[in-house]
Amino acid sequence: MAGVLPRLNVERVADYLVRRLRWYVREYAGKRAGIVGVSGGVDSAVTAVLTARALGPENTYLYLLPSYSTPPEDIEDALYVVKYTGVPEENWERIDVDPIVEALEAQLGGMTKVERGNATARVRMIILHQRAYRHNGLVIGTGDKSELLIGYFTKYGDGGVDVLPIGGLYKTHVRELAVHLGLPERIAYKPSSPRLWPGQTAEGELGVGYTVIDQILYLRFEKMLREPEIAERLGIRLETVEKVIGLVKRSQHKRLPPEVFHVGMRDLGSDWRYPREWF
Amino acid sequence: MKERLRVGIAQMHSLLGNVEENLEKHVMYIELAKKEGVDFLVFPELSLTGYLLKDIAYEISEDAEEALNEIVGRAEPMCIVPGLVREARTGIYENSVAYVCGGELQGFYSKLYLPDYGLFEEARYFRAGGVEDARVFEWREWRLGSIICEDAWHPEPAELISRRGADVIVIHAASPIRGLYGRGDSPPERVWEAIAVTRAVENASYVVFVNRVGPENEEYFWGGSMVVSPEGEVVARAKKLEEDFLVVDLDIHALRTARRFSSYKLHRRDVHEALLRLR
Repeated sequence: MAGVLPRLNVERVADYLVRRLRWYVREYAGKRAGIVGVSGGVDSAVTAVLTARALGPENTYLYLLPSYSTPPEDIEDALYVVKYTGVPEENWERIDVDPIVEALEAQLGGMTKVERGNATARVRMIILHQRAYRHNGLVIGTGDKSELLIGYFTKYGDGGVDVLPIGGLYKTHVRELAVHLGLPERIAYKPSSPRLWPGQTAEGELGVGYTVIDQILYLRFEKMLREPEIAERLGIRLETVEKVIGLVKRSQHKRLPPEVFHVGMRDLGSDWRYPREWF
Repeated sequence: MKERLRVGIAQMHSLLGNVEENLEKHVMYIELAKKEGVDFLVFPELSLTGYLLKDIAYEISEDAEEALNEIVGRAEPMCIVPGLVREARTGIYENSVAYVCGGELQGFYSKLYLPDYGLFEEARYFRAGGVEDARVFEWREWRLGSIICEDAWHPEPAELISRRGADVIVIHAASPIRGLYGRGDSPPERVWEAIAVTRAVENASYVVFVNRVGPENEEYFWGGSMVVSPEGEVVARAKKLEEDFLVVDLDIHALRTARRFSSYKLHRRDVHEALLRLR
C-alpha cells in the first residue's frame, strides 16, 4: 500500500523520462549509447527498459555483474530483462566480479564484509565506465529517489554514474512504473537488496521498509511536515521518522561534489553558480 | 482595424546560454511564419538566451543584443517578439521581450514580478521592469501587449497593459513540469490554464500563452502553449513536452462581442487607490 504517497502518473512519466534520457545522452552529452548494470532488481530493470526505449535496443548495453552473494534467481531475472529489452546478442555480457575483488584483496589484504561490499560496487562501476568509453556511451544510473535521499548506495560505486533517470522516483513509484512497463510482478515487487553480502536486504539493514520510508520522505520533503506530525499521520513511532531523516542528513556528502575550501575571490561551490548545461 | 490577426506561436526548445543556435532557431520559425502569412510571431520567455542561466545571466546580454539586431535587420513584414536578457543599464539586467515590428525595434517590456522561490532565483540576477515601461504596441491596427510568466500570477500586470489598450495579452513563459502524480495534467499545467482563461475573461481580451519546451538542468519545460478567446475558451493548444508551432487567427468580432457582454468597461479606480495604501 502506498498510503499517503500519491500514485505515479505512469503513462506520462514513462514518456517524459524516455524523452529526457534521449536528449541527455544524444544532444547534451553527444554520445551514442546507454550502459546499464542489470542486477535482476526492479530499479535496473526499469532503467534498462527506459534506456532501450530512449536510445533503441541496438544502442543499449546491459551488463550482468554477479558476485558470490548474487542469488541464482536474480541472474535469471536479469536475463529476463536482457530478453525483454530486446538488445542484440552482442550488446550484453555477464562478467563475474569476484576474481577482480579477490585480486584487490590479494594486494590490499583481507577485507571486512562491508569493505568487500563497497569494493564490489566500485569494481562494477569501473567495468561499466570502461564499457561506456568503448561504446561511446554514458553509464545510466539505477538509483531511485528513496536510495539517493537516505544515502543507501556506495559512494563512487553504484553512485558513480553519469545520469540518474529514475532519481526522481521513490521505490514505491519505481515498482508502479515497472508494472506499467510490462515487467513481471516478481521483479516489480521483489524485496530490495544491494546483495553486497549474502542475505543482505534493505529492510533488514535499515530496520524499516521502503513503503514506510517513502511516505516519510514524501511528507518531510514534498509536504514539508515536521517529524512529530509525520509520525502521527502515519501512525508510526517518532524514532522511526527521526532515524530516516537522520540518514538523509548524514548522507548529504554523498549527493554533492566534494567540498572545496574557498581561497580565491570565486571558487567552486557556493558562488560557482554556472548551470550544468554550459554550451 | 484589420478583421483578423494571424498569430504564430513558436513553442521552442532553447539551448541554455547558446545564443547562436537559439538565433538560428528563431530564424527558422520566422521563415516558417512568413510562409504561413503570420502577422505576429511570439516566442517564450528568454527564448534567445535560455532560462536557468544562473551566473551566465551576467555574461550573455551582449550576444543577445547582437542576435536581436540580426532579427531587426531582417526587416520582416511582421511583428516578432523574442525574449532575452537585456542590459538595461551598465551592469543592470532585465528579463525582457523585444517588439520588432516591420524591421523596427519598437521597444521592450521587462518582467515586473521576478520569482525567487523554489527553483527560481530571478531576483538575484535581474532588476524588475518599470511600470511606466509596460507599453502597448500597435501593428496592423491591433494593439498588442506582453507580460512575462510570473507577472500572470498577479492580476495587475495584465490589467495594466489591458487598460493601456491591449487587445491581445501575450504571456511569455518558462514553466517547468512538477508533480507528475495521479492522472492527467500536473499542477502547473492545470493552474496555467486557469490563469490564462482568467486573464482573458477579466480583460475581455485574447490571451496568447507561449511556453518553453524541453530540458534545462534538472528542469523540463512542458510546452502546452495555448490561445484563449476573450470569452475564456481555449481555442488552440500546442503539444506537450515537445516543440510545436501554432498558427491561430484572432478575430476582431469575437473581441467586440465578448466586450459587449462583459463588465470589462467598468473600472473602479477607487479599488486601486485602496490597494495603493496597503503594504
